[in-house]
Amino acid sequence: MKRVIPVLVLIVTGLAILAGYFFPVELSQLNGLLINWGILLIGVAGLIGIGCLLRTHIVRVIHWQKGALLSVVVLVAFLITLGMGFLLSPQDSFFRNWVLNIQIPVETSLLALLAVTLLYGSLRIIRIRGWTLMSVSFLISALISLILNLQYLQPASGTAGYEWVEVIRRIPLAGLRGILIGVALGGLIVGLRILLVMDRPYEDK
Amino acid sequence: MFKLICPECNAENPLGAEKCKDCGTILEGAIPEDSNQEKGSDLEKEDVNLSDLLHLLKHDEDLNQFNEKSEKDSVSDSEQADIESLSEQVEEEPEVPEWLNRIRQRAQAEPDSVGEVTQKIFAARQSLEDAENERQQQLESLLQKIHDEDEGTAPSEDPERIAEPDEDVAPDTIRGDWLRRIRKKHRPAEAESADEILSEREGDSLLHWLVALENGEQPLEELEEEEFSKQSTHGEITQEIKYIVNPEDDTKKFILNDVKGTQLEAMVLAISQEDQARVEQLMAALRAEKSARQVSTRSGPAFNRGLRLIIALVLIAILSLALFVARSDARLYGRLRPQAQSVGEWVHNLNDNSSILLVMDYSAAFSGEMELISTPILKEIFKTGAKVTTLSSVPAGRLLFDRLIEVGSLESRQTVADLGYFPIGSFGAYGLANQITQARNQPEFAINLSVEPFDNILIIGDDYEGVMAWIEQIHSLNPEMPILLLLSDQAGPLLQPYWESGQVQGMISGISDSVNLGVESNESPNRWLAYQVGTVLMILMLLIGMSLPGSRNSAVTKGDEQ
Amino acid sequence: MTWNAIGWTIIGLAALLLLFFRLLFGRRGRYLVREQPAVHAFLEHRERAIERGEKCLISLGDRFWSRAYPALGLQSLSVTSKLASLGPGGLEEQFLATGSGELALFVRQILQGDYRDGYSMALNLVVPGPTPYAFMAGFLADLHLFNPGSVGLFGNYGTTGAVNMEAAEKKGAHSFAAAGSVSTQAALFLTTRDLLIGEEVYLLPGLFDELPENQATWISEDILRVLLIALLVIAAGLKMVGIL
Repeated sequence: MKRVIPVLVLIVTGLAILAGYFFPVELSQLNGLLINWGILLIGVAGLIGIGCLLRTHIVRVIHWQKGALLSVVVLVAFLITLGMGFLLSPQDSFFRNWVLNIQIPVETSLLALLAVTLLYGSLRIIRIRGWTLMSVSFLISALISLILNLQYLQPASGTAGYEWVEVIRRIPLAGLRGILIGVALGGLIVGLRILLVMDRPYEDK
Repeated sequence: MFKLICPECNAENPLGAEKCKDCGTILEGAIPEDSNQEKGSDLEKEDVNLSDLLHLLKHDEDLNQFNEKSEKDSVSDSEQADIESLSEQVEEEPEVPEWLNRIRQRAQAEPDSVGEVTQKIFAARQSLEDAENERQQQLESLLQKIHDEDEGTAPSEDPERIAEPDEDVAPDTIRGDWLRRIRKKHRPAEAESADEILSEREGDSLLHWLVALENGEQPLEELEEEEFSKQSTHGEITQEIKYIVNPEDDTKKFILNDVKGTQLEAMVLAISQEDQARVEQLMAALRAEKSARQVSTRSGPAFNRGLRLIIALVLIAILSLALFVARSDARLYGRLRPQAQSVGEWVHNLNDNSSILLVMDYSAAFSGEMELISTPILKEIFKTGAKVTTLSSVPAGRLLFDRLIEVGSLESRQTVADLGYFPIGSFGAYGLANQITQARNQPEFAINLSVEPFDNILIIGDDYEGVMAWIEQIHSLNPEMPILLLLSDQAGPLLQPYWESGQVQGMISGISDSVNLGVESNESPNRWLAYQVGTVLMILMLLIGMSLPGSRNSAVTKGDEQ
Repeated sequence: MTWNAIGWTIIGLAALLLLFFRLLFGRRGRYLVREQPAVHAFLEHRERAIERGEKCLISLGDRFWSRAYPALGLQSLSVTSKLASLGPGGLEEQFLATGSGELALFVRQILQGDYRDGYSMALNLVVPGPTPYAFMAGFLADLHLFNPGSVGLFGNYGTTGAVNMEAAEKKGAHSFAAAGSVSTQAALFLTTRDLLIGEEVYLLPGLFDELPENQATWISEDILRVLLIALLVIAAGLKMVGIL
């Protein structure tokens, strides 16, 4: 019984959501209820994720493991932000500036790090992967896309050059669509495996 | 009472038995032996101490040598007579004793017996070398004692103690016991001399052959097959191993030289090729286990760090120049794309009765670019008086919207409600679309929405994934709902098929579309120039990377290409 | 026939194929899988890292629900379960990182269930950060602390996953990725030595453990893929002649 009830809930919920696409009017009320419950659960799970994060850093500080000083910084920053959010509310301009003036530079810096990483990676790609069909086609398509994005090539509409540029722009999209179709199939099969109770990795063994 | 002794297991079988009762060996040709001769049967049952045998044989040979020399030396007549009598007795012995036959058979049938012999020979040889000098001086007295003991004394010492000459044991007593038993078994009435014993061991006797090898009298037989030799360097034993392949019986013979510091010249051990293959496989596995693992190491980490630093500094320097040094009055030129033009038309058609759901789906990292794109559009929207409701699919979405308003200096914020944060974009989109449908068809159940159904949905996104989920979920349930997109430059190209298929009514992608639409700001030219410079840098890096020589590192790890 | 009907047909066909081949392979026979050298290299390097006493880091994504790649979060859970069962007793040297609470809950349940049948109560689960950029920053810090010999990326990531793998490579760890969306995989292509792209990601659990349900998944996907290709070609032809 301990294993049967969760499986039943899983199957009923999955089928109800799936049927909601084909019977939207008839099942809108049920689906609305299920979706609201789902959003609630996911929100709580998000809080649990934050709790796991805090637990990791607290344990590190208590046992004074490697990186404990950084964990202290994380915990202090978290407590200050949480306290100010409760005291001042998110609509307060001071709180908004406090958070965004730290978050935006940090995330922008990480994005810059990504840019440097991609630059450096493009320099080393041949050295790492060698002259293979995959790496050469990747490099050529990347070069063409970058050159087109500079927008120095802008033929007039209706001309042959315009058509050729549009065709070249669409070739990567065709490949992307192919990959996404395959991915959608894979996702469909994985979801069906869950619904058909063929795969339950999170269940107790 | 006579009994048949099994040549294999030495078990006693009754006369007339065709097969041994223990091992089943055919007893044809077995010589009946008198079981009443206890001492003789005891001799058969006891394990022959080969070291004892060789020790005595050695002494017998020395005796022969001494006899040859003694012709020139002055010895007593009585001792000469004794020596001659011993040699006569040995010469007269016509038959090979049964125990010796069994030893030979055992040596042929059991390969490991050779090893035992070798070990015992080593110990005997060692003892012989140590006591050689001393024994020569005592040879005469030993001969005399042997002759006396043949008369009937029964020594009680353990024959195996002969293998340890350092101990306080009378070697003559031990050897006499062994010899006495042999003589009493075969010729109980006659005394046997060492010469007789030695002579009967001539020919293909294993023991005699081994002793002869020791003395250098028996040369090694040279085989016709090809001979290999290799130095074994593994482990603690360093020795030269020669092995000879005999294709006839598919075996290899290993000839070990200088094993463990002994001076034994050669020992042949036959091993089949299957066993050899197994041994080689095991050795290879042991070597592989002990060998250093190939680790994916990076050559020149300091060089890589330096190169990354140089690239970063070059990027920062050039982009900074483009951002701060470029002229701010530079005009951007470009072709206005139809999807961007549609957004302009859509904004133009808004009125104060319109309700717009504004979905915040970009992260703080892209706030600079999205503020540049979105602020002019929002300004136009607020000018029309349309009702705007915000919904966030990122945690900081509401904060980012307030920043948009603040940066854009937007005076009127006609937000009807803030629907909050939806943890999963696609989930929230489906729920929203479902609620819209429910509110439209069954208004009495529309308890979740605080506003009427929306006329338009405007999504501000930095990544095509989230926007794609919104489009697919909403369009599948509400195909008539107009969806417009304000996107970063990286998301635009991937979402263009949605515009071309009609699922999206308009989209602005990147700074260039925003500028070409005519909603440029003071910072747009510099930003666009910096973007172009960064793109050119990327192109240069790709070209330089293609021109650099390839590395063998690509072959280290498998699975490089699919 | 509407698009909804076509979708329903594909879903129903997929379910039928799954059930049929699951029953078929459960009794006899097997479906030969396409070899993935990247997976062999990952497992080999992972075992070597454990033998050397180094840590193995498995990252399961900075979010659970995928917006572009459906079911990738569930896929990462299947991979976790398979990797935990493959461990030669070295689970204490394996660390799992995840960026969302629901992933952390499921992973904890998987590991506790596995350890209950196993030998260790070590539960090395870390949450580097709750948002993608926070996850990236926390992951880089944890990488410096753990100094792993092998890093595996599974689940959903943004393009920031490329920075994580570059950092892992710099640390001398072997990197493997079967994660992210198309744009993420394009970025990972520059920084990751062993990479699975596109629907190859969904082959992964079966490559660890060739159970009948995994083989049924493979063949069902292949059949549906062929059918869709045929459908696309036919539709394109009909469109060209003006019927559609």
